[in-house]
Amino acid sequence: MREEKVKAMGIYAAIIGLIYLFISIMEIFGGIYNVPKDIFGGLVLLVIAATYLTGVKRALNGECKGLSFLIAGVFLSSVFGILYILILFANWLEYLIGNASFSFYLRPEIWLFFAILPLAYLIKKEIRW
Amino acid sequence: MTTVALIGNPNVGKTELFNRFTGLKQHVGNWPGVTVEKKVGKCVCKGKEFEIIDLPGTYSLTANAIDELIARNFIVEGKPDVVVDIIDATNLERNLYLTLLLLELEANVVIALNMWDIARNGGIEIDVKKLEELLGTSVIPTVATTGEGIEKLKDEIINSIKKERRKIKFGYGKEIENKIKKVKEIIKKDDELAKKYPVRWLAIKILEGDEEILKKLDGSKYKNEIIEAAKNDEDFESVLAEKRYDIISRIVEEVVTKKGKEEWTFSDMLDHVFLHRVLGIPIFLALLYAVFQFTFSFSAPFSDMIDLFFGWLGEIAKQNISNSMLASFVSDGVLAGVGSVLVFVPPIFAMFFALALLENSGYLARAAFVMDRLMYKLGLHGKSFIPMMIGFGCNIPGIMAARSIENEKDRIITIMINPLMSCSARLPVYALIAGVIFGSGYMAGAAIFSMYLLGIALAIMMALIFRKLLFKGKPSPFVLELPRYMFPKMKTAMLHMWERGKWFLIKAGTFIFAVVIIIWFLSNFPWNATNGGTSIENSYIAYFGHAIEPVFKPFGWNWQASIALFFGFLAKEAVVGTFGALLGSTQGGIMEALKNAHWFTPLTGFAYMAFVLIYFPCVATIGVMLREMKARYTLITVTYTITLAFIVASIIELIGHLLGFS
Ligand SMILES: Nc1nc2c(ncn2[C@@H]2O[C@H](COP(=O)(O)OP(=O)(O)O)[C@@H](O)[C@H]2O)c(=O)[nH]1
Ligand SMILES: [Mg+2]
Repeated sequence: MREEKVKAMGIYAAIIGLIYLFISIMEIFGGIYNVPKDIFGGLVLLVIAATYLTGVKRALNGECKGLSFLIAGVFLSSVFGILYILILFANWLEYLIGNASFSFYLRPEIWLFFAILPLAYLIKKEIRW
Repeated sequence: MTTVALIGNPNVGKTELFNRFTGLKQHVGNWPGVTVEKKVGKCVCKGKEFEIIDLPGTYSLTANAIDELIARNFIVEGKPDVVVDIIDATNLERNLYLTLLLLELEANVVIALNMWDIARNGGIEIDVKKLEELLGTSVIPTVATTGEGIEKLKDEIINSIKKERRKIKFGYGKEIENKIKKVKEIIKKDDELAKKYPVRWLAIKILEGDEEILKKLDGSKYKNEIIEAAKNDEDFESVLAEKRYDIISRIVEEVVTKKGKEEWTFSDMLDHVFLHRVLGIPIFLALLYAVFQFTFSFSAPFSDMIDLFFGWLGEIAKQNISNSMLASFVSDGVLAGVGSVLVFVPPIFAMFFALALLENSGYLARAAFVMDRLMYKLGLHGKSFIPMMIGFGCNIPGIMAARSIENEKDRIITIMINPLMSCSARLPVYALIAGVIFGSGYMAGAAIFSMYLLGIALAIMMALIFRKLLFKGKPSPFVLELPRYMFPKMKTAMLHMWERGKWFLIKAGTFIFAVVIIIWFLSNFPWNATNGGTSIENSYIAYFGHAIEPVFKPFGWNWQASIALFFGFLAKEAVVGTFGALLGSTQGGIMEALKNAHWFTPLTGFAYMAFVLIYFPCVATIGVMLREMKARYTLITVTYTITLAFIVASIIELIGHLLGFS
């Protein structure tokens, strides 16, 4: 794999990682804008942020080992993205049976999941199973 | 009938193959140590009936761990007609060790070279003909998951019954061979021994000083003579093991060719992170959190539907049954009680589904590995974590899984702490009470999640205490095999979910049903005194409840909550069943009813959850414990769990008060 590509992925991961970090802090403390307080949820985002950011330095050096962290990060982002999409669906069902009101609130985990898809695609193209 | 035993290292696909043969659906896990007992099934092929036995996975046939011993005894004493040795084509070096031992045992071996697909795709070429020649057995490449090669394997099994196998002796060098010969000569003098066991094998085992085998000499009049001849001051076991590995590496060199250069694969990369020194444990906890979010948040609407359904059914029953006693029995007893437990079918199934995904992907074994490192530092045995993870589903299989731990002390500690792992039967209690005291927001989820963490923390703490007090010494080191990562299959995950979840349904239909009827009776009678169940304070159950209430009063739990704990001795979900039957059927379901009853404040409710987590392993678990270890240890377990429950609940309430909760 060409070094520039790894570097490009490193930059992408750095941005994504920082966004995760930022949102994680908002969730842990809560009340900033309309991000609801969710301590465990915030800690999870912190773990994901740490995973991406650990890999950044090595990826920027063009080392393949750095990619490992990006792969694991993509994996974690996907797990939580899909999880919260499913939960959104469950909330909608809850609304249908008349138990709760429903607000179409896209948790940050969901749109971050879509944001990492290009990275996932690049990785999938480069690495063999 | 012809008996066919399946044997092989852990995680090579034995169970998958067993299911192929028998059409049964045994649990297939991407996880070493899943099969700890032998399982039996039948298979008719080519008009012949076979009995197929799935043995626990083993690396060798020494008498160190219970599961290895089960496998060995079956082959030595049970003398199956054919032994199918399943080996992982991607890892001949490790797998052939067992093969050599089986050949030494002069078993009628047929080799299934499984995971052939992975070897093929990974550029590993194996010269099957050559391997057959070197081992003197037939070797059939198979893919257990798709069924490729299975028919050929069946043919070969049938052939091998008739065929006289070409015996190949693997020599251990002149010096050792002479010693083996000397012992052999004496054994041959005892006809009975010589007929019962393969003589060469017996001689080797005696030279190795295998205790189980030495016991078998007891009846023989040549016993002393044999032992005299076998006297040696070498560590025969390791000398022979080394020789065997030499033989294996020569075989592998001849038959295996690897194509392509070694490069970092996906799997290496994932392991680099998942087993990371710092990130490993946080990632594990994050994924655990995902499992619980899925369990509770995703399943919520489905639970509510069931809740509404039973509430509606109860109303109908009340309105349409004219006999008031019968109406009360049906709606307030059976429907409210059983319904309140069935409401938790969705989260329990969801949890099993999520755990199955993690397990099949290969991640759970990594989690065990990561936790091992931590636990080993704390003086615990590494293998303990696998039974602990299984205990999240149910403590009984968790305790059984401890069988794979060789060291007896380690095994007993592992069993004794397993009840602290929060099994699925406790989940309804948490879900109900957390929902009542914290509503549906994130606090409820956090409260429930903290119960699981509390369980793990207490388990580790107790293990440390037992290590210090009861079983002094260091845990024995261990190596955990890491299975390969796989994309989890929907079908397998669904199957697991059903396999494990169905017990909850069965229990709800039988055991919980019975408990609920008893509670209904106790809370509605004497019928006249309670005015047909309306003034529960005059009922029998109130009488009992008030009798035990003083014990729990300091925690702020009323008599209803106390009596629920009493029934929870039988099975923890009975706590919820009791609430259901005590509150009777209501429109909004059990959650609403309990909320309106104001039995718990956030603090007393939270302490109650912790109490339910800890206070007693259910009766079924006790039964298994009695079977798996000395009664003394079971007694200790019961005692410590009860004591610990009171201590932890007190601490929670104390700290809570100090923090200003009520
Ligand atoms: N790709 C592939 N996977 C297999 C094959 N045989 C078994 N597996 C998988 O390997 C894992 C372990 O299988 P299992 O039967 O539980 O192994 P056991 O521990 O030996 O009983 C499971 O995830 C199976 O689906 C095979 O031939 N090819
Ligand atoms: Mg198995």
